[in-house]
Amino acid sequence: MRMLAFLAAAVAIAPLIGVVAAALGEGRADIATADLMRYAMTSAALATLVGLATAVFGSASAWLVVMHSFPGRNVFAWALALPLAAPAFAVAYAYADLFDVAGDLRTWMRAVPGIDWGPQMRSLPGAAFVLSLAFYPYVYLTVRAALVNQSSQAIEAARSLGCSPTRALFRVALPLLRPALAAGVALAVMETLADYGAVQFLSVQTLTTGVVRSWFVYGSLEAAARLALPLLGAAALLLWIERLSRHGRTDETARARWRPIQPTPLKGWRGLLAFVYCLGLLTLGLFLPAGWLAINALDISPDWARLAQAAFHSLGLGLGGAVATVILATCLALSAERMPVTARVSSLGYATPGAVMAIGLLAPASLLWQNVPGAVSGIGVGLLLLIYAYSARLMAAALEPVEAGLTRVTPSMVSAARTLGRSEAGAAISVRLPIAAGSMLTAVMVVFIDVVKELPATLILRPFTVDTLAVIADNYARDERLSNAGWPSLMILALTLPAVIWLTRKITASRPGELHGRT
Amino acid sequence: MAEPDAIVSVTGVSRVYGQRAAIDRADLTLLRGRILGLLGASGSGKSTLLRTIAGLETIDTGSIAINGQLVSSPGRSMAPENRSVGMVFQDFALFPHLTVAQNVGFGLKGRADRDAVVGRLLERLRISDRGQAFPHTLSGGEQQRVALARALARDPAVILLDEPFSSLDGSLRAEVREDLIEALRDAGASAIVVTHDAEDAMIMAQDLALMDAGRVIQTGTPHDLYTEPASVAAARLLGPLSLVTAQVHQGVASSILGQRAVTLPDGPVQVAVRPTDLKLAGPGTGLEARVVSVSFAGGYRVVRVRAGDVALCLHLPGETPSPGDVVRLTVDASRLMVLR
Repeated sequence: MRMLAFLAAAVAIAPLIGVVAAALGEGRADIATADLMRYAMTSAALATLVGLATAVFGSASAWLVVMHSFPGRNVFAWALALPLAAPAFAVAYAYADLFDVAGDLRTWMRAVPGIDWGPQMRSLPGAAFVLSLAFYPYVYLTVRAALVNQSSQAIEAARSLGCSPTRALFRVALPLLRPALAAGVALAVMETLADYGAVQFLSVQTLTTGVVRSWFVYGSLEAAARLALPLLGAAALLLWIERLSRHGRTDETARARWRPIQPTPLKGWRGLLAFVYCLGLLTLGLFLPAGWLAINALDISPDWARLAQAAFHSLGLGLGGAVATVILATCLALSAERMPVTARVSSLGYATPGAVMAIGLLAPASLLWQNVPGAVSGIGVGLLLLIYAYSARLMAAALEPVEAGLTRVTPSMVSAARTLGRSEAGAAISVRLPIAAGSMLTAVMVVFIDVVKELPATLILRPFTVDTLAVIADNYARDERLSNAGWPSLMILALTLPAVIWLTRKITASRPGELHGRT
Repeated sequence: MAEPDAIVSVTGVSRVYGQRAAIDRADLTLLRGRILGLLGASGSGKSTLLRTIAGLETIDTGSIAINGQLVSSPGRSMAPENRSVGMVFQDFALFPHLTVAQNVGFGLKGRADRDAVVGRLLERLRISDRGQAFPHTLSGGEQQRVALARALARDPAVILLDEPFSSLDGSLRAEVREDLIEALRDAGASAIVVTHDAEDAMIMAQDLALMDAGRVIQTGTPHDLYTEPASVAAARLLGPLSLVTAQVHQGVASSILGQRAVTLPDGPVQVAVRPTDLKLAGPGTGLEARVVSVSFAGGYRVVRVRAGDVALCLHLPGETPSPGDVVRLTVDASRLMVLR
C-alpha cells in the first residue's frame, strides 16, 4: 500500500521535475527577458484583479445566503456555484461576441438609442471580468462552508458581550472567515493563472499563453519551460497560502455543540435587493453567456459527426481521467497519515497550470513516441499521457474529498477490523473504502468536471486525431467562427452541469455535526 | 514460563515511545474463565498494555503469550488478525456502513454457520430485534452489546475491554455493567477489563491489577487490594483516603490515629485511612479535630476536618456537625493502612 502511495506521489511530481529539467537544459530558449517580464506582469495584474473581484462577489453572496433569509435563498444556496460548470473560454466567447463592435447588440445600440460605446472585452479588464464570473464560485463555496461551520455560538457570545449584529460581524464573524476567504481566493487565482482558452481568445498575453505559444509557434520546449518556471513558483506560493489558511482552522463542530445559525429575515426592498444581486451574479456567470451562445448556435447547423465524436472523446477522457485520478488519490490517502509529506508534495500539481504540466511531460513523451512504433499504439500512448497529465494536475482535488471521507473511519474501527481477522489491506477494503465510497464518488465528479473543461494540456498532449469538445471549440474560436464554437461549448455545459448540480446540492445539503447519513 | 491455566501471560513487557516508557516491565496473568480488571489513572499505560496483548502495538522488552503460544516478543509480533482475541473498544468502533447483524458477523467471513452464530449472539445479548438496524440508531447500551457480540463471535481465547463504560451516562452505567458481567459469565469468557474507575473495577473483576506510571504495582483480589494496598499509589487508585505521618518503633506504627502492629523496620512511614473508616467518638476519647466544611452527597455527608496541621476527610451518614464545631474522631486500628 505504501508503494502505491509513493507511486501516486511520483505521478504528480514527475512532470514538475520535467519542467525544471527542461528549463535548465541547454537549448535555443531565445525568449527576451522583456517579453518574460511583460507576460509575468500581465499575469500578476490579471490575478490581482480576479482575486479582488472574486473575494468581494464570492464572499458577499455567501454571507447573504447563509446569514439571511430572502426569496429564493434555498435555491441560490446551491445554484450560485453553477458557473463552475461553464468553461471560462465559453464565457469569454459569449461576452466578446455580445459586445463586439459589429455585433447585433452594438449595431442596435448605435441605431436606436444612438450610443456608440460598449465595454472592450478583448482587454485586461475584460479578461478579468470574464474570469471573475467564472471563478467566483470557488470563493463562494469556501466562505459558505466556513460560515455554516461556524456555530452560532461565537456570534451569540459576541452579542451577549455587548456587540450589535453589525459589530459582531466585523469583530467576530469576519476574522473567523479570513482563512476560508484566503483559501477560496487562492483557488480562484490558481485557476486564473492556469487559464489558457479565455485569455488567449481575449488577446491577453499571460505566462500561460506564452507557454503554449512557445511550444506551438516556435516549437521550443526550453522557452516554454522557462516561461513555466514563474508559474510553478506562483503555484507553490498559492498552495502554501492555501495550506497556511487551514493551519489554524477551527472545527467548531468538534469542540462545541454545533447549532445552526438563525438567518436574519430580509423584508421588502432589502429582500428584493438580495434576490436581484444573487440572480444577477448567476445571470452574468451562466445564464447570459450560455443563452447568448445558444441563440447564436441555433443559427447554424453544426457538423454533428465531428461533435458527436468529440463528445465521446471528452466523456471517455473525463471518466478515464477521473477514475485513474481517484484511484491514485485513494492509494495516497490510505497511507497519508503515515506519510503526510508525500501527500502534501503531490498537491503541488493542483496549483500547476495544465499547460505547464503538459510541457513537463513532453520530454519523456517524445522518448516514448520515438520508441513505440505504430499509429495505434501512438494514439494509445498519447491518451495515456493525457490521462497522466490530468491525474498529476487533479490529484489534490481528488485527495481532499477522499481524505475527508476517510476521516469518518476512526482508528479504532481499523483496529476492530484487525482483531476481527482482517489484514491491513483487508481492513482497508472491508471498512475504510466502503465508508469513504461516497466521498470517492464526489472526487470522481470533481475531476470529471475539470477534465471535460480542460484545454491547454489537452491541446499540447493529445494525439492529433483525437479532438475533445474543448479543442473543437478552441479551433472554431481561433477562426472567429463563434456560432460554431457555441455548439461544443454548450455540449461541455451539458456534460458538466448535471455533475455540478449533483455536487453543489450535496455540498450545500450537508450540515456539520451530522455524523451519519452523510457520505 | 506460565501457569498451566493461564490464558494470557504478560512477562516483563515494556513499550517505549522516544524517552518515555508507556509500559515499564509489566507482569500480568489472566486465568481461564476469570475477569481481570486493569485499574489505573489516565496515562498509566493500561490501554497501551491492552493494545499490546491485542497485537495493535509492538513491545520492546519481555514477552506475551496467549493460550501458551508466544505472540509478542521484541522484534516479533503476531498480526492482530491471527491472535485469538476479541476487543471491545472505548468508542465501540462499530462499522457505520454495516447493520448490527453484519457488524456481529464481520469476523465470521466465509463461515457457513455465520448466520446461525450471529442469531445466537444477538439473542443472548437481547438485541435480536435490532439485527437490521444501523449502529447510529442504537442507544449507548445497545451499541455496547453489539460491540461485545461482535468480539465474542469468533470465540476468542480472551476478550479485551477498553474503558467499556466511559461513553455511558451515570444511570445507564450500573445497568450496563450488570449486563456486561452477566454476558461475559454466560459466555464463559476470559476477559481483561481496562478502567480508571475503582468501583467498576472492583465490581466487575475477580482479580485486579493496579497500574501506575507504566508499571503493574500490585495484583490480587479486589478485597485484598482495597484493605491491604502495597503503596500510597495503590491505595489512592482504589478510593479516597486521608494520609498522616507515623513512626515505626519495634514493630509498632504510631500515629495520631492510633497504633498498629507491623513487620516493618524502624523509621518514618505513612498511615492511610478511608473516609468511611473514620467515626465520631464520644467525649473524652479519640482525636480532637475542628470541622472545616460539610457537603451533602446524597446518602452521606462529606466532612472535612483539621487536627492540628493534618487534614482528614470523613463520610458520615445522618446528623453531622457544623463547620467550626470541635469533634472527636476514632478509627478501628485494623482499618489503618501502614504504607512506606
